[in-house]
Amino acid sequence: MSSLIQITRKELVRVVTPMRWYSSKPPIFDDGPSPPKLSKEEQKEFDEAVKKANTQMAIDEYNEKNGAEVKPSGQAVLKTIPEFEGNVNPKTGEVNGPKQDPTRHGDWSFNGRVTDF
Amino acid sequence: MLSLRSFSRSSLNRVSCRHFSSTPRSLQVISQYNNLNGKDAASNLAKDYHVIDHEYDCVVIGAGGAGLRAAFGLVKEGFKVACVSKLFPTRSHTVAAQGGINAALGNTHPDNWRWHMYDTVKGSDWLGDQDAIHYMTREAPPSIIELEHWGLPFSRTNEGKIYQRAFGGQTKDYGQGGQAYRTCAVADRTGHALLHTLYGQSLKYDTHYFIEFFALDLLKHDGKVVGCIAYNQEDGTIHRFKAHKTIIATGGYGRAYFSCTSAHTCTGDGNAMVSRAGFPLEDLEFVQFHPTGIYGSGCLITEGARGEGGYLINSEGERFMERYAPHAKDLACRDVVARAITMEINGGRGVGKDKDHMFLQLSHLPPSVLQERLPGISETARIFAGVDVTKEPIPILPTVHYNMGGIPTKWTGEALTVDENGQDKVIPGLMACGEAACASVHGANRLGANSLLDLVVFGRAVARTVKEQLQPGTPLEELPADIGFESIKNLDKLRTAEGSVPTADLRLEMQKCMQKHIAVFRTQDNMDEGVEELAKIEAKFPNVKTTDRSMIWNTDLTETLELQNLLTCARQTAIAAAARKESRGAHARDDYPDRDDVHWQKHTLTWQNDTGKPVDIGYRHVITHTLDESECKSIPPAVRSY
Repeated sequence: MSSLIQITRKELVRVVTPMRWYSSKPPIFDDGPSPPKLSKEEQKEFDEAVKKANTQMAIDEYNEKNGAEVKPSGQAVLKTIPEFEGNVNPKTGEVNGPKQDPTRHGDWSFNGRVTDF
Repeated sequence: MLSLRSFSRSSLNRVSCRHFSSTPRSLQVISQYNNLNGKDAASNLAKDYHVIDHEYDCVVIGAGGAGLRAAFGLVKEGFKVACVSKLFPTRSHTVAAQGGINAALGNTHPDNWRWHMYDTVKGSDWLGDQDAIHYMTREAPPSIIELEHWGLPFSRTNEGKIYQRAFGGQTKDYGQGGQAYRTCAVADRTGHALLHTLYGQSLKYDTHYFIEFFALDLLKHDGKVVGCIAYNQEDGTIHRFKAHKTIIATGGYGRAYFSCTSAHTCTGDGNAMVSRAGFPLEDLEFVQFHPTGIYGSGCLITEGARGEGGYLINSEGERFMERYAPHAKDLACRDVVARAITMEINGGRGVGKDKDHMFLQLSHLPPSVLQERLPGISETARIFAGVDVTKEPIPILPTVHYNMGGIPTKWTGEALTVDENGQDKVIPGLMACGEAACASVHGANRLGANSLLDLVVFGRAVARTVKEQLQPGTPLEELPADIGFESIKNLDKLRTAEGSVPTADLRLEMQKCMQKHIAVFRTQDNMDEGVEELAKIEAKFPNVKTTDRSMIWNTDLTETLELQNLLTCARQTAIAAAARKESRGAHARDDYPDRDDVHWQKHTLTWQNDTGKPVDIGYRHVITHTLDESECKSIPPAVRSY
């Protein structure tokens, strides 16, 4: 099957060169729309600075310097606090069940949030 | 691959290069590349609007759990089905129903669906129709097995059976055998998994989806429902779907209240369409509340918060539950707490700018208790209320969770009305299932984990019923050319509305009124005030103001149409509630504290043909016999206590 494709592609390339493929070729332009480029060295320096500024370390450093209050990110708090490890509930033997017992407060809840009662 | 190759070759011969947007937009409903394209209707119908007609055997409105189940069930039986939904199917509110689903599978202990039936009838406070409850509980196990076969990843026991846990209201041996283990679940995402499983299944069948189409009205001809008319939000076209059977599965109308758990899209569109078509709605006064929903977001805080020592305080810092329930205090049962909160707010002791909510305090609890006994609650409070529970109280108020009422249906899913003699009469061509319907399996109060069951069982029932009544491909009868014109006129009026009240203001006014008067504290005076106020609010609707005049993704227009739907649901709820002079299930009145089976064991029916019109009220008898008395005896009324 793959050889078939190759043949086709070769043929195609021979027939018409300006053919665009779905996504197999690198884009014609290196980047999307952007401001005019600086000189080569200056551009390199600028790109590196941008890259560095986007790291978590740089962000933390900046926040610390400005005395901003850092809140823990949303990702960590949304996690369920598991009552047990693995897939099997050691108490009930339930497989692939919830990591917290949803009915322990009488309603059906996770993280203190009720979804049914 | 072969066809692809030949395609590229042949196209090469014609054009030398491919353009950016030449891919057929196969995802769009209206395109020249699929067979969904309807016929253009006569242009003189509404000259500013492009109206397109479609012909189907059945049209399903709504693509949540019930809608999807009904839609692909019908396609499976060979029907040509359109499914019209204002949301992409997996965005439906079913996704948020993360509780469980009841079925007497008997995987943990010997179980019997008749026991499940007893629990459901008792839960409904003997307002549920016992034939429908019989059908639902009997069909529960096969429906669950069906879901399992479609790949719903249930939590399991060691032997690989579906795990079932204990949940409120479920008993063994007709209430005599203690707690039953009957609730199946998919870890902490049952509704999510269910909706995605159904959606996955539905793609196996050739259902024609019309997604992000807002259904405006039912089409009615000669007393029969013959389809629906919808507005395509994407390109502003109007579509008329002509069909033998129209199935409504649009969900509840929680948004009629200020605080609710349901999505912003739960606006009772189906209920309102049925009303406008001149048919009744049933038992709207039965609305299920939870006492402690977070103010604003509507997300519910577990009763465990009070169980572990949290308490409620009013604006004076008083633990007011001591006054309402001297013994149980904050541990009093749900409706007592909800009523106490509402009475405090009505007494002017609410907190906040509008004095319209209460505080749930947990900050006196040691952090170790919060961490060990209530894990996750601090995160929930921070995300949804923006408070730190170790320092501040959580703002809460009673919150709507489920609407028991809706479109009256038989156990088959066929919508009902009553004739002159008060006997049930099937509305030809109209069916309903899911929360929008009132079968009525939930009666005056829904049992936990019975709502997801309602979806799958009655979604399935609809397909079975239609199969017996209709031959696929039956030609449709000729309809008047201008059918549905009234709806277009209404849409046009709202789109160009130049009044003075913005939609959002009027909606908020309605929601606050419902929350104050028709919520959990129900006395004649309070509700009569509410009825009067709602009539005034509804009278302002013709003076509504919209600013967006376009037809493309006009959310201003959609919200106004939704408000129109909510208003009729709200008004009928208020009138039905004020009329019912007894306490039953979720309808708990302070001036009539007892259930009155002699006068009130009957369903309320309400009619309102149009916004602002007076509401008519009537009644329908409760069906107290089962489908087959030899298979399962009906359950005589008794005191409902747990």
